[in-house]
Amino acid sequence: MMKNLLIVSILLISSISFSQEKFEKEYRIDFSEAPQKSQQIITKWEFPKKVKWYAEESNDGKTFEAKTCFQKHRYSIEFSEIGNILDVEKTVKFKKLERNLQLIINKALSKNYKKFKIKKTQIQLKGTENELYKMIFELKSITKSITRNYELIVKAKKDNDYDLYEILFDENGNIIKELKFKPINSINLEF
Amino acid sequence: MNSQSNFDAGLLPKIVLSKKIDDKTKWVNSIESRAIIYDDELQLSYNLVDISSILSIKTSLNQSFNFGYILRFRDSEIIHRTFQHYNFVNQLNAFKVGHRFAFEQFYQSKRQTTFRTRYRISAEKALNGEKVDVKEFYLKLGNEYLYDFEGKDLEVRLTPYLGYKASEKDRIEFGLDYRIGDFINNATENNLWFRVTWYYQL
Repeated sequence: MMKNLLIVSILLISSISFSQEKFEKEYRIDFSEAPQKSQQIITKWEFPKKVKWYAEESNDGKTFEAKTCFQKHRYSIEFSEIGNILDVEKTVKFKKLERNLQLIINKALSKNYKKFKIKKTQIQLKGTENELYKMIFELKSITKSITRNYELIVKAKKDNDYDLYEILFDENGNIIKELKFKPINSINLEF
Repeated sequence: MNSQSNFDAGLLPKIVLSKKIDDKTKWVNSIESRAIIYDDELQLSYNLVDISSILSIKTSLNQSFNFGYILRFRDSEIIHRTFQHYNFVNQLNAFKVGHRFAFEQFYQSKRQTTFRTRYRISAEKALNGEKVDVKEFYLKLGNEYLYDFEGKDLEVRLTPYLGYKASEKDRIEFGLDYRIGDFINNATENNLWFRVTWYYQL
């Protein structure tokens, strides 16, 4: 009886640890491999520069990304598995954000971390396909129907050590999400 | 001065085992052997074995200092080497670039201690997508410059590799290690090594 219980426990523990293992894979794909709806959107939007396509698989499912450069900014347009637009991310310089927002974000970061350095800033836009198109191609200024968040990659010190964080702020500068990056393993570049 | 050229080719298999001691420190041990398959004529001869032990201390998110010791067994002689490395790695959008600055001291019985300094730049790029995921291939290109204070000479190395990340803990790299020695003294020495390196995290 005890032996059976032990075997069941081992199986249960191993299956739990297996299911908790994080799985993530991103890879380049051809335009033709992207969902048809996303192909139609990007074709219609007519970015002047080359658009590169990626697929990303993780425990949360599969998404697709179209990446390009437009007016000196890197754009990443994320789509669901069936090709619905999820969001648009535009890489900008932190100093190009509104002055007031910069102050609020800096204040929030100073409150949470002993020291910090902003490494990357992306404006994350969520809305309908039509609204997003107008936003990107500057046919319309910001409207209420578009949600604007700010995703920052920050090198920051909480206690004694620096770590890399992905922090999501809402348009008022409140922190919505904080994710700590796993340290980069570069053993093959060191030894 | 007449220039002369010398060409050797061979195999350089290497195993690198690392063990994390704490968040900032890891212990890295490696064994590397060298077999010559061409030295003026085709032949197979076993040349040397290097055994090394390194203490690696992370000083920042992307920087580390390594302090190591290498024991080299060549024919009947043993060469002791100590070294200090400073590394930093930059993660760019689609590739990683690593820089290594090194200083080495060689100790051999009945000989004076000699010194060497070296700098290496290496870049790693996923063959599919922007980052190297598990079960994916990648390219690694390296370029290294070594200056020997005793011989007052420079060696340049070019290292193109094909890598495969088998899991989060192990990866294997295949490639070439082309070395041009005696650069300054004009007695050019060419070596071409076929390398296989297996990195495993315990």
